[in-house]
Amino acid sequence: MPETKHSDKFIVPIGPQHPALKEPGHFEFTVDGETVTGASVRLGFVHRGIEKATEERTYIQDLYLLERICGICSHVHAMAFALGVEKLAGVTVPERAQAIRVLVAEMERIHSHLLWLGVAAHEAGFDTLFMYAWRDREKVMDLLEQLCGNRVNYSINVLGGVKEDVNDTIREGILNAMDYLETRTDLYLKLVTTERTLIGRTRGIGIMEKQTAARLGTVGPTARASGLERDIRIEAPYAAYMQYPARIVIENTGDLEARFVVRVKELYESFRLIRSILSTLPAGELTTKMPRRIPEGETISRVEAPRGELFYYIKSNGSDKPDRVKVRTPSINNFASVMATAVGHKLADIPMILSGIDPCFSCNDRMVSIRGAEGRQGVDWEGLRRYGIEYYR
Amino acid sequence: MPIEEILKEAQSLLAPFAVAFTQPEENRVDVIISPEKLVEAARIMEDTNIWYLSAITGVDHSSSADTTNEEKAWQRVVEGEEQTGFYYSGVLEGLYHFCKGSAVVTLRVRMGHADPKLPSICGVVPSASLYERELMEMFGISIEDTPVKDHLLLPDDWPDGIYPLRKDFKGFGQPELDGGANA
Repeated sequence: MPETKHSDKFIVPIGPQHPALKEPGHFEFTVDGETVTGASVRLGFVHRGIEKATEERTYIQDLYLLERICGICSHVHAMAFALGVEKLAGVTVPERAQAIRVLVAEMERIHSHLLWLGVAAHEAGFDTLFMYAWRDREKVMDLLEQLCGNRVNYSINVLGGVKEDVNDTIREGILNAMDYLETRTDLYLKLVTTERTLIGRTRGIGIMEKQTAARLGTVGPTARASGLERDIRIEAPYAAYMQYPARIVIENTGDLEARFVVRVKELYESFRLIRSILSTLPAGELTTKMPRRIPEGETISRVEAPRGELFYYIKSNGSDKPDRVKVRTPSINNFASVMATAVGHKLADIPMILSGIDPCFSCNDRMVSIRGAEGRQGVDWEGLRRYGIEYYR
Repeated sequence: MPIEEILKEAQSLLAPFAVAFTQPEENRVDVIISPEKLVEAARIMEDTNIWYLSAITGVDHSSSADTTNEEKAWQRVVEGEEQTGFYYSGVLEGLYHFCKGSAVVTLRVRMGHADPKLPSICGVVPSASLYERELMEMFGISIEDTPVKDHLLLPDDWPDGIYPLRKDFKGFGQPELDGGANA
């Protein structure tokens, strides 16, 4: 028998039903024994064609659509879009509205970081922390509901300002919750840096050097955990971050533990910003008048989402609909880092490394395609509306 | 360093490759370059170690409908008739956004609709791979030397030659929700 020793790679497919996250993504890890030697990613399982859809809707409709790109960081999407469109229209938004935008953005960051802390703890097999973190997250969700009317997709932005104002009851509620959450965060910081079972899964795992992080274009807490000073709130202050400057949180070890620590420490920064905003909230209007048609032009709007830099490119053509909206979410930048850092690790560490970047699949994937019996069908707006009416009849 | 200086520095770096510069906003510089110079320009930016590739955007300009407008738009920025001619022929555009702080430098590469081609910059910026896959499937821009050519976002059985983010793509028509019984 001829020599059949071949160098075929053994590939472990993970997903689309993903073991680490309750969102679909497909990964293929090439392994040698238990050690990962290569990785590739396939996204698009929740791609909804939102970028294309924005071209057929007015700016006002788009605001609602874009807010639904992500159920976790919905506010930053709407804010990035609103800031961009306002820039194109040459409109100055009242200070109070900008401050409220930042207030909601920071509350969203708290809820997103606590959510991540829970998910990551769960991946590490530390379900107590998962339940604690999610219980505390409810505090912020309730506050967001009180303030905006919704727990998710808060929809507080309008083009030219915000819809809801902060009254004394809400202010009290938020301040009380911040005090409570701060004591809880003390506990979390202690846990992620001293709890043996957790450190066993995080310390020295998934190390990304600063140079690698820079070369791969990582953003957000993932970059900051590798000592890379990237935070759009500080580098290019938008909305009211000029009046309420954020302070950067940096860790230098670049491992999973650093990613835990950066996110937990950022909670303190959010508490500080929220208190500062509530104590000096500028008086004034909530909205300003926006033109329906936006003058021709193009702009780039960048904001710091909980996961990192969110990038919007908006091209207007003088009508009431945009010509092109490009959304580049932080997770897509950070995926490249997973593919690179996974190599050399044990397969069992992969779920932790993956969740370490706090990936958001809905953000990356933006069209729905339904595979029916007769093959694929696309669903348009009208079809979707009819489907919804039929479904709930 | 003030933002004007940062942008000036980038301009002087990119001067050998640029056809023209524009400054659409005070924190942005757009650099028009031809496809063959893209890789070199990206390398220059990447080698500074301060600029990072933030995103690659594809744009289909054919919606701006009448080509005369297109032509005028490009005459404003490109001096000299022979260059105007070159840009006029293209309607697809790749925008390579490099960021540093609040500064954004965009390398703008234009291509004809008929046979759009770009070189891959993955050799210089490895993280460009995902964006290049997106450009290929969404706009039908062929990037010969990119490492991975599989679909990134679209389904595997997506029909060839249909590029959803091009302006001439209008969807697959109305779906039949009830098997056509009440249609």
